[in-house]
Amino acid sequence: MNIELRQIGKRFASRQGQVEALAEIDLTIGDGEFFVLLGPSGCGKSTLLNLLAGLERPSSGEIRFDGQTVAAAGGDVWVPPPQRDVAMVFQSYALYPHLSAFENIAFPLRVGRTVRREIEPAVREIARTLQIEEHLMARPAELSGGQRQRVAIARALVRKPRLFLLDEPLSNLDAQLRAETRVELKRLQRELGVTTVYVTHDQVEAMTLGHRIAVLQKGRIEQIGDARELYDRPANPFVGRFIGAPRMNLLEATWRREGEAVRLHLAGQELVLAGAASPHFGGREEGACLAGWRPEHLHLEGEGKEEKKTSLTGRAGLSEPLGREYLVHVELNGAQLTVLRAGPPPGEGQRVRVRPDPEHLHVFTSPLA
Amino acid sequence: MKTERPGSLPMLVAAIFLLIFCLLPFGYMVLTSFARRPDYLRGNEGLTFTLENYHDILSAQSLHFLDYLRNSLVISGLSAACAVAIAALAAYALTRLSIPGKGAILFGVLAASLFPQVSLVSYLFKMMNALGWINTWPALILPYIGWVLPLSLWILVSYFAQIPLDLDRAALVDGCSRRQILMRVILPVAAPGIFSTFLLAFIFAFNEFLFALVLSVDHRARTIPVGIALFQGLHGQIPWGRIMAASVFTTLPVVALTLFFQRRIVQGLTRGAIKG
Amino acid sequence: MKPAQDSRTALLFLLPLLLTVLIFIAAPVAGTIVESFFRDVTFLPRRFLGVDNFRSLLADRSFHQSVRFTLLFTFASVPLEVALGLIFALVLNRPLPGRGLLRAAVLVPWAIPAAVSGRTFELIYNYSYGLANYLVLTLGVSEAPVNWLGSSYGAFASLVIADAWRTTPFVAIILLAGLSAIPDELYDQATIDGATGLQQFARVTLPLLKPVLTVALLFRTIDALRVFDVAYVITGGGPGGSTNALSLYGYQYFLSGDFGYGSAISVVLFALALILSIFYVRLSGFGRVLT
Repeated sequence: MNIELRQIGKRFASRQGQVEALAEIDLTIGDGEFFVLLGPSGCGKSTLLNLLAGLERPSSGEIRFDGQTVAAAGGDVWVPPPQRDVAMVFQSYALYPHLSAFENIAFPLRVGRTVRREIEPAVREIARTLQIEEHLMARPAELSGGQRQRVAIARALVRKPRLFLLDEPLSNLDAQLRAETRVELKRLQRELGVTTVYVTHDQVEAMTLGHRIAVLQKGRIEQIGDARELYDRPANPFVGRFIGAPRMNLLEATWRREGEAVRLHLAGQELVLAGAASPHFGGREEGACLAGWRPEHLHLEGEGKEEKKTSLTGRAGLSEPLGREYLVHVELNGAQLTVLRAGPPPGEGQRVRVRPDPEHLHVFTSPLA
Repeated sequence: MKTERPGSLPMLVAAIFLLIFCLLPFGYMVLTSFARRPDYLRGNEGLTFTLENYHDILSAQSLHFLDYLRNSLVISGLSAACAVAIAALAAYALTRLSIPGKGAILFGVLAASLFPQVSLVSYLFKMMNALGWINTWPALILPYIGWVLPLSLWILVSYFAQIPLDLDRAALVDGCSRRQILMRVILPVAAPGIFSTFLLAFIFAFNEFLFALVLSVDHRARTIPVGIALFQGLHGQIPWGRIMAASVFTTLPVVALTLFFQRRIVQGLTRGAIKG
Repeated sequence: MKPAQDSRTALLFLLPLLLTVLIFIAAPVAGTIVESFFRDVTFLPRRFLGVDNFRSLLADRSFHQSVRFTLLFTFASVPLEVALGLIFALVLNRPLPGRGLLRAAVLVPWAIPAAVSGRTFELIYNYSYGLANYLVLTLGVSEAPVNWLGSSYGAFASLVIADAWRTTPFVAIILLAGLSAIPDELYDQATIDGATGLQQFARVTLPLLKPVLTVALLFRTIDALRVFDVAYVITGGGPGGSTNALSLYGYQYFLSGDFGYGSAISVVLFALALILSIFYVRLSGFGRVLT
């Protein structure tokens, strides 16, 4: 099932007055797509999910499933959740505490008046797929967090819905379990091919799971794309900093072209970047911007290798060992940079030079959101 | 006042004091119910153990003791059940549906429970009199529903508020109508709380005095508290033995209920209070 | 769910509650307030009196006596109940052996109807052979037996004790809930900081217990003001009307058919309760919590 969101807005009244949770969202999700809504808390991603489920009504705009309007602002069209054929997994799992796992999973089937004969095999089948068959007789209180989550997923999928919604389902699991379940979810979705919308604040989850990701902030979509696009070509500083860990470095700079190269003025120093950087600056000759480099695209060089102003000088600070590599904090004239370095880090206080990759420069003209 | 270290001496003394304080009058009640004469403490005879007090109240029709008991049980049971049902519906609506003036309603009901009974009783009497219901069960059941309703509402609201809203949402997405959510999800989950509230409402109704005093006249509708309060002897001598026997007989089931469900009752009471 | 449908459901669910409260609480109170402005005596024509009933009350010495007793009773029994309740709650908060038994014992006085326990107390206070005088004489508290029910001081004391016995459990349980909500870590911290048991009580327990204490005080005060059962059963308002609680006083007028005057008394009692409640709510800043 494909989904269209047109000019969707959601406002509600609170003690502080009118709050705009979502503003002019336009979105299309394809049939069978695993679509991720990514953003920090308060960005509106859960609200969007609730709108899709029918748990909230849009203040403006229209939602269409397979071309049919299911919700329109003003109340002309409204299809309530029971009739949308949507299934949802909540962050808290929301399992019915008084029912066994089996009954929890069977619940939507019983409510939907499925023929009794067909209920048991359907439940057992989905339980088998999620490897919880042996826990079917237990109550939620007797199950572990991971098992409860699988029951929640089973309950959602047992009726083979045309839309599968998940609201931060992995956030209550410990790190190890989270990583394992992530892979399983991806595999499951590929197998079933159900259109899925997944909400998370964890960019790693988003990148590994989604076909496409929408990054949201304060009720607006900052960028939509697949993992590669968002990582390599972030549209603005917010996306640049939000995606990828460790975070992208951003420095305020002024720049001017010099023939094939570009001369940058930043952190009180000058930097000359080779022609590979030139396309990032568009058609202009000079200007001001935010220059960004990911820590892996900065290279530390010891003193003494005097190159033609292709590096910045600074002082090394703390180094954090990450296992594979070190994250070195470098200070230059009040600005801070973080650099990923495979080899042993420089000592604290040592003078170092940081050479950025010209072709992996990100140029942003809008201010940091 | 750490909850780890038990029994320091002052605490032990206080505990014994608690036991004596709470159980002494009750023990005295029980003792006297088995005594032939109530003046056994004066030292003349000492206690002569007998069962005749119990025999008298249970067999003597003219004493109407069993009538009073029957009336109390029926009236308290029915009014508690109705009150809890009404309160459960309202609590569901108040905790889950958007209602303007939610706080005002709760506050209003709380305020209603603070009115002195005496300020209600004359009007109730006139009402029941006009309906010709004086000395019938409905005359007591209906006001009792109003009497225990505020308490029931406060306790149930606190129970319902603890049931996560996500359960409603999950049931909604799973295809339930509002009514189905209430019946299939909320009520089963709230069942223990509803039961506790019923117990409390029952005890409150059972122990009520003034309304029963005014709205009932004789054994057809009179309740135990009124029956025992008005229990006078025939020859100017108050039949303490029988009164105590009646008291023990009455209160034993209530006390047993309390002991048995002590945990639930305490839970219900504290919820009602903490919320307030 | 259309919002309109939701509102309709909400109204449906609330209707029984609102109707019941309206018919069996709001209407009677309103009716009584209206009544207080009338002369309504059986066999006499009903007549509008304005505030005459209240003027009569002001001159009525029995009424003054009743108000005096009610207020004295309230301000004597409530602190007693709260103090006892606090002690009991502290005891119940400890993991003493037989805690279940203690808790059950505490509930017994509350579970027994007031009228029933009232009669037991009536016997306890019997001059010749009651338990009270037995204890007084054997424990050597006094040489002569106390005239509990026959003297105004004795009657006052007997009512206070009987009411305290009956209601202390309620207070104890509420305070116990408040006590168990105080995390142990606070006491651990206080111990590390060098506070003694008594200091911990004063600086940790009491302040954190304040909201619960206030609630208990409020409810108990209102309940004490409208006391009826024990006064009716144990002293009947005597001797000489010295323990005529306001509820009882009003009831006596209803009994004799004077609904107007009785209603006026009820209104005064109601007003007293309201004033004290507002006073409490203001004092504790509880209004904020309720909204």
